[in-house]
Amino acid sequence: MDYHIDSIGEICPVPIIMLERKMKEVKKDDRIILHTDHSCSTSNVVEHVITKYGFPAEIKMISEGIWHIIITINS
Amino acid sequence: MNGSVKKNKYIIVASLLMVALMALAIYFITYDVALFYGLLFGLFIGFFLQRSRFCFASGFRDIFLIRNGSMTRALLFMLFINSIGFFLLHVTGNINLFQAGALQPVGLNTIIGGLLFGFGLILAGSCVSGCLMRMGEGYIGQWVVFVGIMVGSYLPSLDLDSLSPFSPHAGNLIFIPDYLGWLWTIIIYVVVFVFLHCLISIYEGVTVKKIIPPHPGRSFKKILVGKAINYYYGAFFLALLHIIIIFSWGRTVSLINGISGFSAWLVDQFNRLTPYWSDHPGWSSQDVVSGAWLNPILYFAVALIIGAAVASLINSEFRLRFPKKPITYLYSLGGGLLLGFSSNMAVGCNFGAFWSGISSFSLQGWVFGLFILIGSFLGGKIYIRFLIH
Repeated sequence: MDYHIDSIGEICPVPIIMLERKMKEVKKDDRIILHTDHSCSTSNVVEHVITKYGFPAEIKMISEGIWHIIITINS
Repeated sequence: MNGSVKKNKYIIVASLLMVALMALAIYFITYDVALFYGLLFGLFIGFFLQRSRFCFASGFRDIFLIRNGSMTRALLFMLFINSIGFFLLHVTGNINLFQAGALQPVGLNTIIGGLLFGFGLILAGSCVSGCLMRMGEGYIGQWVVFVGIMVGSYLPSLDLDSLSPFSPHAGNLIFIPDYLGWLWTIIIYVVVFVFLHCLISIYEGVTVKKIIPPHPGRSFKKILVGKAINYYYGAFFLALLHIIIIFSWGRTVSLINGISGFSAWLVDQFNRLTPYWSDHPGWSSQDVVSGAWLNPILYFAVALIIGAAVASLINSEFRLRFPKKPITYLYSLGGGLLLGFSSNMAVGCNFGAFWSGISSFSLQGWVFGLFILIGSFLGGKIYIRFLIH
């Protein structure tokens, strides 16, 4: 199942905290798609997910300054 | 990753900004070369801050708030490279840290300033450099933070001596090698950096293998465009730039006195300037008002904004970003006030007092850093309890 988190207009540390809260609800093979316009999130959310959880995270630029960070829960 | 984004339409704007800035910089060469350096290095620092998303605030805040110390470790790495660079330049006689370094007295003002700065960066979501960088990226909330910084940085100068013992005059200037000698200073620096690095990794529960995430094949072009570069690369470039700055420009980076000088100039336009201004130890020039426009740090700060804007524009990342909730503007203003007030109290912000201070082997940098950490820890507790929903 895909979960969308809308963090447009939020800056650090809000996107990562929203993500952490959502992380508690997800199961294996779910995906979290974080919508963000915060440039730092493309670095620190991805880094956080990879080093803390070991889940793959992919960045997609949707439009100028807007990204989707797609996290696949693989365990 | 830019697949769905149209070909860079902002690249022309970025080029125009660069050309205008460089034209002004070249004009300044004959006038006052310090202003030229201010513009040039501000541009580079802003560019690399944005490219690596280097965020001092995150380094202080995220270690406790989300138990992620990647930025803190990068910050330590930057300070380490930077200190070694300054040390080598100093002992080889290329620079004199007594003149070029950021040596400021350490006292109660540093401690209180650090605590308030820590609170401020939680509320504002950025420190002074982060605010300037994000202004360049189009964050409207950060422009509000900047207004707060401008007002806040003017306030403690109203009457510094009545703030005693919090006055910047009250403390003692402590240059660490004066007390320990160079050998022990360097040994202690190395031990402290390695120890803190390990301590943070253990606290985070991150294994050594994962500390530096793999970033294979970074070509020169990838540093300039594309995905954000790794924090450690950013740290390395910033430290290198700072070493080049002290070598060529003969000073360390700072931000706040450019901004507070501009505030003082603005206040003076309404004939409301107080006489205490010229007493501030952050000011070398006696005449603050006429000096405001001749202060290279003002140009450094402006160029930093433009550098970040250019980096953001050429990567199609520029966007006017409005905060989601209107209450954020209030937090931003409050955070900015705290940042500005505390920076002027501690005689420097995260650049002038923390980065430059520690790199110049001044005890005040360490004390300021420690109390920012404590302040942001306490602020973070309040933030997560009451301000985030």
